[in-house]
Amino acid sequence: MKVVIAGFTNWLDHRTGYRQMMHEALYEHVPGGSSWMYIWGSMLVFAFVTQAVTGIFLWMSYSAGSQNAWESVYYIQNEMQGGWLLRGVHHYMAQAMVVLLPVHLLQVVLYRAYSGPREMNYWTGLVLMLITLGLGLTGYLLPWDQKGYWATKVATELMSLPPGGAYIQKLVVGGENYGHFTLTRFFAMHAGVLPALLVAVLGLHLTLFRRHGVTTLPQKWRDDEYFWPGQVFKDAVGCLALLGVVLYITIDHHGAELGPPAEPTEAYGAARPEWYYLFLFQLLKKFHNEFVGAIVVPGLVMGFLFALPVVARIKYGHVVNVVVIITLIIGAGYLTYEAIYHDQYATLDIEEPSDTKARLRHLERVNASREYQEARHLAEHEYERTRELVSFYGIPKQGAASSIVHDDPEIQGPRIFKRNCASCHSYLNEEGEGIAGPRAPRDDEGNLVESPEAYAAPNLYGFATRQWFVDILDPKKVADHDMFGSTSHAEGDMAAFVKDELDGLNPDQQRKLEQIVAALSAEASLASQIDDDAKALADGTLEQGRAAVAEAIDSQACTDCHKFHDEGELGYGPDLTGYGSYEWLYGLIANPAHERFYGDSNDRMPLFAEHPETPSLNLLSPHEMDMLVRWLRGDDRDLALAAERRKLADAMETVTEAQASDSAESDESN
Amino acid sequence: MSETKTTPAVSSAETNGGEPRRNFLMSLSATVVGAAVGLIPVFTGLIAFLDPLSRKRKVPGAYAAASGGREGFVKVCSLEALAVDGSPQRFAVIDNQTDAWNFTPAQAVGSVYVQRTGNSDVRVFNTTCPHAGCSVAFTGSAYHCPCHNSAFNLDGTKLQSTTGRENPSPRPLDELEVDADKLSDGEVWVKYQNFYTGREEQIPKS
Repeated sequence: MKVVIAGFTNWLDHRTGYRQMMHEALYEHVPGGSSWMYIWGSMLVFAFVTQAVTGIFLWMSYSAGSQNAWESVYYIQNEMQGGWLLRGVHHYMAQAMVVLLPVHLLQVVLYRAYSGPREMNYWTGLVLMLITLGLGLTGYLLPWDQKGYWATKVATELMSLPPGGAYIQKLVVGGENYGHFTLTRFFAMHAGVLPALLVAVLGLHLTLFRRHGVTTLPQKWRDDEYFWPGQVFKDAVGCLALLGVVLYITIDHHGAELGPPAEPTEAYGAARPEWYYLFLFQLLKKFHNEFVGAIVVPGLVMGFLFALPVVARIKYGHVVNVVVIITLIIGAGYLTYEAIYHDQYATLDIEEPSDTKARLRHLERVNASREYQEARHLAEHEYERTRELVSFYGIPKQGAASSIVHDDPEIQGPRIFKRNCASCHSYLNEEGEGIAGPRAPRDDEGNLVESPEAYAAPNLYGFATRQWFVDILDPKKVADHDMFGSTSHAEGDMAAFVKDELDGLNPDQQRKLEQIVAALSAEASLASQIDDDAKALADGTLEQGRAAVAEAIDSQACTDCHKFHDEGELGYGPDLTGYGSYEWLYGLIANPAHERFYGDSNDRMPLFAEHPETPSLNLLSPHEMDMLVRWLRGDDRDLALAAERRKLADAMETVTEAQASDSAESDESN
Repeated sequence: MSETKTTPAVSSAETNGGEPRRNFLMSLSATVVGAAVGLIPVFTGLIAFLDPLSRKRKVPGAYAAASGGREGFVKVCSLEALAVDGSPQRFAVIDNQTDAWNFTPAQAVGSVYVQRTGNSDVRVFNTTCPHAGCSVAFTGSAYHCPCHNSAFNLDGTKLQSTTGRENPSPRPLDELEVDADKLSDGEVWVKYQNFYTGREEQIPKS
């Protein structure tokens, strides 16, 4: 056996000379012996190899194209076995590379390994750094989610700034707008051009490294060693530690984050580049001129880095270089910290400063940070919801964004609300989460205005539920900020009625009020109250409540001001018939000043769909109205229930139509 | 650790003397750790790569409701649509289609030949040739495969060529199960299956 192996290895060596190659590779002379300080370069090579391996496996499941990119990444992340792990390792190893790069750079500069005769080695290293950053930038777009889409958009917009940049931008994006070509081009760069370049430059980098050998600070007291096995062992341990950290973070986060699918019409308020680009993002904010902030300053810094070996020739040049490198790393670190700090600002509970100037700056930061936080929460909610949609409907071929997401009230509703309603209304649950309404007015010095004019409108969370009626009929709550508090209705007849007549009710009156609440809320037939409504119908509460609406609790009945089925008249308060139902709510939002709703006493609410015959003139399209109303009512929160209810409604309609045509026929025959 | 070393590692490596045990342990550790860090990323990728082997068909909730037929059966045509003379007719098989991340209801997922074999009896063949998977076509009196000259009689059995060229198909056309209850109601419901080609025995792909 031994003879056979020896025969084969001799044969192979004769034809390849592999022994010599192995010997050269492993028995590299390491002056001063192996060291933990030399592991950074090897770790970077290992990280790159990991990226190549995991990247090729991801490639086998990824599809570049604006209707497939997010969908395929979603599939990798949520459906394929171990897909989240694979994607997570690729994602976090990329970040690890960006962390290791400055460490390696710092080590090289401290050990003076950048100056003659190793300039070329150093410069190829800088090129490798740029290629790696390019890989990060191109990779961020590929999942085609909201955050990748909008962050990358900023980067490509900035490309148009230098002279001739418009052409560069068009070539990179593959046209004027983001689309299929943006993805195919970015993907070709990410998986083809840049890795190939990196391999070529890395080859050069390593060859030059071998030519000049390891540089060391003078350490004459230590013995020389060969690369194998001491340094290989240290390198391997470093790589193992790196892999361990990456695996730990991946498992801890259950893989890399994926946002909701990209939508070109839906701006993303939390658009940020990947964290390792935050220092550039923050730098850009420091300059009023984008050209200076995005191109000139980073360009000068890169230029200086390339010039280090030249500077080193000057007296004290090396010291200058060390100081500059350390300053740059600290500076980038500080800018990164500052960017994160500003985004987190609102969550830090920082006390409002008393100094006017500081207060104004504080308020500005709080507002910007709140916007960021809200957008992030919304994106998380949207992604979770998209998962529900996918498991219920699957992903149609036209892509998630333009099908299931586009037609889902739970995703579109909050967006439409934020754009059109949140300047007055809030939508906050019991925990205060959701969409904040307008901020309390402040004067020019940032002080809260005492007793401001009407500036807000009711919190619409849980509109038309029993709780909502309980609150509006509560003397203590009717004029709260969450109800009529910040509207002209705070001083209106309804608030006065609730305060005067519904305070200190006796048990009989209280029961009657509860019946009224049940009856009025049942008018909406909300999905969330199906069981409650059915119970109230069965035990007679509904019937009693409906009767009680027309009876006075103290001196006045609801129907003295409101219409309710056959009782009362339109023209004073909103119609209580079908209150909160789809049709009612649609009508209210379409035209709150209609006599069926608030008529002349409509406070400041715009007429969102005033022209039913010509929707193009309206503030909201029929689709937007539909999404908004269904979301406010919670019709589609439970997808299975919603589908069942729709089926039932369709069946009812068919029956009604059949009856109608039957009676029409019988009319004719008569 | 190298500070306390007395024998230069260089000479020990060259002469293979000095501290061979320490060197051996170091070499072994370097190999083991190096192999581990190299293989873990590969394994991570392999797990995902092997996903298709264990994938089960999933129907999203909205389409989970029964199609009106037996589990696995799809409606192909009505009995009335079939020619009384028993000549085969080709029909598309319409079923839910799962294509990795995409799910599309009511898609053409394959085709079958249906022929009347009696007043209320039918025979259904998968159009896939059992030889190498091309699609057979009924021409005149027999089923012919355009790829390698397979040919089948009206009843699906292999047609022996008169020209002496051998029929390459290893088995007759793949006949599909028909729901007898539905057939008596005048509807042709078929258990649509594909089978591995190139073998004598009929093994369903599932």
